[in-house]
Amino acid sequence: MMPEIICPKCGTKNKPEAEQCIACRAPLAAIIDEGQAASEPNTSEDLTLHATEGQDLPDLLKSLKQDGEISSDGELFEDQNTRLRPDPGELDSADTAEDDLPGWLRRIRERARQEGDAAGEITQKISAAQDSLASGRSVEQHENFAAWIESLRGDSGSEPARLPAEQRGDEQSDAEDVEGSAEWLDRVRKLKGPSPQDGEASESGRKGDSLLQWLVALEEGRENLEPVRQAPEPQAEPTDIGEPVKPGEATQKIPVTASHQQEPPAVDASREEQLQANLFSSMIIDESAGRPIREPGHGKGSWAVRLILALLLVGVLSAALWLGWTGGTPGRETPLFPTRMDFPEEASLLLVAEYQAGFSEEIHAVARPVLLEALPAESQISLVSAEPAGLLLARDLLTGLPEAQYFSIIDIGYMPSSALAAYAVATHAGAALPWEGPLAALPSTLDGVFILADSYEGARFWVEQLSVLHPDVPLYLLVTAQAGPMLTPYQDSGQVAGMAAGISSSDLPQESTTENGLALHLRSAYQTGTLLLAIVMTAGALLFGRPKRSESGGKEGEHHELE
Amino acid sequence: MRKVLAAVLLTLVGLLILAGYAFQDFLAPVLGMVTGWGLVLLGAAFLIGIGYLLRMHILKLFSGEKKTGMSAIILVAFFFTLIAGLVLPTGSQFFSDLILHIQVPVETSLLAVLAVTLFFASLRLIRTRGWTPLSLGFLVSAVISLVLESGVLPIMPRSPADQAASFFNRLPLAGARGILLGMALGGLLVGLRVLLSIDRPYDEE
Repeated sequence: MMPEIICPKCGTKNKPEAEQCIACRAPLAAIIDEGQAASEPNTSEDLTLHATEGQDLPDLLKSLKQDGEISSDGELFEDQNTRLRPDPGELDSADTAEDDLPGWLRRIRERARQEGDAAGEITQKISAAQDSLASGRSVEQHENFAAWIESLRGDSGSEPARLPAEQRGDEQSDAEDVEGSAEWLDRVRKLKGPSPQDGEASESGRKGDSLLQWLVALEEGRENLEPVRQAPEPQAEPTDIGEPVKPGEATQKIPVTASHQQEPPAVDASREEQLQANLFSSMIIDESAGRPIREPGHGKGSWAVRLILALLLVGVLSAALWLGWTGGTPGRETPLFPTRMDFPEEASLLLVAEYQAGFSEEIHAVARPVLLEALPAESQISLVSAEPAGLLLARDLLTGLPEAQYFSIIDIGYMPSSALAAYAVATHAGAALPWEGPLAALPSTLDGVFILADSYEGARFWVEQLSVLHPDVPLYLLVTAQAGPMLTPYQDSGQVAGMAAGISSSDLPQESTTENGLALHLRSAYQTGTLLLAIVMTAGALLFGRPKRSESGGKEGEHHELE
Repeated sequence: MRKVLAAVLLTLVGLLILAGYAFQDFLAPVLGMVTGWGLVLLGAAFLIGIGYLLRMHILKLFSGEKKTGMSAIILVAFFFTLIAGLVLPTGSQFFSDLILHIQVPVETSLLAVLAVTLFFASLRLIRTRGWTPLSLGFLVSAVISLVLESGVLPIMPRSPADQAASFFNRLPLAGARGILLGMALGGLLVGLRVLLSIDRPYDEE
């Protein structure tokens, strides 16, 4: 339904098809054209608005409609005296409110309707607008609101001043009144080019120019709750890089990729999670706090001190290695290794070599006395390893034993994964397979398994698989000192029959240890080295470490460089 | 389709392996075959890795770059070891001595350097951080562990010193048990998620 046209000059109502005002003869064709042009791009939005007629606006929107005015940039004007735009919802209640008016005010308004000169210009415009909207009062309330939103959007797409259709018509008439200005403005635009505001105004599809529009979109679910962003600068607008450049153009656009700011990812954290995160942050904030870099301060005699210290350490270690003193043994509540391992004369044993060449001295020092006592003379020993050099190291260990010539050594081979090798051996042992696989040489029965490992991970898979699939086969761990603490729970739980961890293990057979001079000296050097480390570390902390000072006080550069 | 096939295959193999713990005798031939395939696949993957490494060093050697001496040494050592391993038998004492008399001293020296580096790093931590709770805790625990491990303290059995030493020896065990329990629970959950195709590590790109 096309509303009646209000003359922008005199405010007289005209028929929709009128080309001139019936009162002042002012041209109305331009207003009609602009009104149609402004309403066409928003057809889809109109349909959307009409489709949501059944939905009421939230209270916030209603309160905005009733209590404040929304400017073109979304700001609210609370001053009721400056209101120029009537609200449709407010107009609906105008009749009832009219009855409550005092008599003098009613007479003034009645006279203003009858005599155009009796009211001021602003009052005339407000009255004209009220009459215009009152004429469409038969239409449903939300339809009026939709028409008003439509006019609002039309304004936002055509003119910088975004006012309702009635007020916009007034401003358009003002603009046409100064036709001279328009002409000089056209000439300026031809010379200087269109202004950025013109470019913005030409974007008829732009949304979100007003807070009210944003609220409407929010109610319809078309808008996400994101902070309102500033309109991008014309040169920063994203340009399609793949857009072909026309060869005939005198000036070509240079593809510019907009620099999108990296926003931190949104994290949905509950209050409890946030509290825990804050607690953790407060715990580590001091450790991660930045501290000034301390310049190394080399004294004149620092090289001499370092040389003396190095010679002292090497000398003490050498003396302990060659002189061979033995200290005490670390106290443990339960013995880690059984005193006797009773294997049959022709025992079938599996030796797993899960250690690298660098740990071979420590492992061999631990394993040699144990194997000397445990292995029967005619044992059948199968070797398997998941370390590339493990088989060579294990064979070297066995051939160094006095009774090695009587051993029957079976080389199972290298397997590329500890977990898979442990599972394969555990499932294969005791099973009669109809085919020849990589484990075909493995005996069907095992009397015991020795696991030589330099780390926890190397021994863990073997213990877990073999203790579950072959619980009757005793497992013995011969590991390094670094792997001992993590493997002790397996020994405590009974999954492992015995364990020796490190050179200083107290539960090695004492006779073998004392009779083997190499093991004795290694143990001496190891104990001396650990004691020296403890002494030097304590001395270094006392000399070079100082109580932590506050960031403001203290001279950080006073600390000496250790090296 | 490929993803579904991979998920179904993984679930079937996982359930088969799990069933092998309950029906070991019945499923032993099948499990042996599956583990054999796994070992062959892992070996093939290692060969591919070695091939890539060789290709990189060969390209670097013949690309005309400077400082390619290390690549040349690596290639010569690799092919020498490969040929010796193929020609000589497994139990050859010459081959064993050749490898071990080079590899053992080199790796042991590296570990010794690592130990000294860690020692100085601990002192540097104390020097740069000052005496914070973390650095003090580290220093005290390290010194106590080293002294107890050295065995120099004359500790009489059932004495208060013995009880104190036992207490300090139990501390790492308590930590180890906690870590092991956490690993076990984590492994159980990860295994279930993979079996149920909630996590698909084979589908990551």
